[in-house]
Amino acid sequence: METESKTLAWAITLAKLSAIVLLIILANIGISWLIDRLGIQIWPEYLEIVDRAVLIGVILYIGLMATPFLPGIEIGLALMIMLGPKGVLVAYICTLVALTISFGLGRLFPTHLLVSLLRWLNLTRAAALLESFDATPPEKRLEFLAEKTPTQTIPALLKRRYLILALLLNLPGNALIGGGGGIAMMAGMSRLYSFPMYFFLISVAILPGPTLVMLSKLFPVAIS
Amino acid sequence: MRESGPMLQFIRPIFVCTFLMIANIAFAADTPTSKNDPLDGLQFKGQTGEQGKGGHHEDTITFKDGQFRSLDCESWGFGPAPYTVEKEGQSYHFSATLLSPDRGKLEWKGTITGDTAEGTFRWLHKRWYWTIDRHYWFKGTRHAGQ
Repeated sequence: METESKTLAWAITLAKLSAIVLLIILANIGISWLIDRLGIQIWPEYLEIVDRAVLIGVILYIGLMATPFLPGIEIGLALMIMLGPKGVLVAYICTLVALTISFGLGRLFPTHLLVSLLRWLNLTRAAALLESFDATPPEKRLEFLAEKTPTQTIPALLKRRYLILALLLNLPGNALIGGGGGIAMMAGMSRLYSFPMYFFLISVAILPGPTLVMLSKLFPVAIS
Repeated sequence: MRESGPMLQFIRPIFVCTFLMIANIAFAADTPTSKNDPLDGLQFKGQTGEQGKGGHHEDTITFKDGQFRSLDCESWGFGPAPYTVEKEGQSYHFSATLLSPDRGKLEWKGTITGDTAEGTFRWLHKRWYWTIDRHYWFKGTRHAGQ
């Protein structure tokens, strides 16, 4: 009976991941089609506009990605899909910067300041989560995060804190526990992770999204 | 320090002059002068747009005194540049690279057959985010001189 429920949980996770992959491919095809239909043309005379648009996009993306409960990863994927392989590196670096900022904020600032900031931004859910997280003893903090995840498989991996962080960042539905920015901020607050290891970990952990986009752009026929 | 002998001093300028003459002949085979250039004085006016898309605006390309110009591109800072020309049957293939001080370069390639010019060009420009690499087309007909 227990084996059956585990298999079902894995099947659900696999189905969710497949749905995300399918969504990326469909969005890729759809956006390319839309750009072709609109007939948008980029010429050297529009260079300043292109530069400004990219800069605004980058700042906006870093801000969204670093803020708890905002759909940074989804925006990042959309950005990569729109820009294609050449934009993947930019989006990847922006994600690294954003997750580093969130981690740094969590590590450097006292929790009550972050909570006040989130409340001021009207992000009450994020503020409440940070408060509960802070009230949890350090050794119970991973458990606290895992309890809030929508999957059953996480608790079994609790002792591997770096692995769990990588999983949480890639978990479908991780918006429930703060999204990429929130998870990174709580990782910083928990003081369970050294910065060099954290940085190395996120450099690897956020690779699946860019890799999928690269593959779907480089081999469009094979994938679609 | 050992000084070169009088013989070497005499031979050296001859070597240099011979080398320069050979280089000049080789260069002249590719880059036309107004005397031997079949394209000199021609200009073509037509539509241009991004590859795979419709026409975006009108442009005029000219060949004069060994220099290729795109009047529209010139307004964005891409100045005139030398071009190469090669005959194939009734057609002439040309190519030129136009440089801009702040917008990268445009690599032009085209063919002129009779009164029609068809070409493609590529805009390359290194930015902090990535290298812009866009491809465009041009199709024009011969236009009376200025």
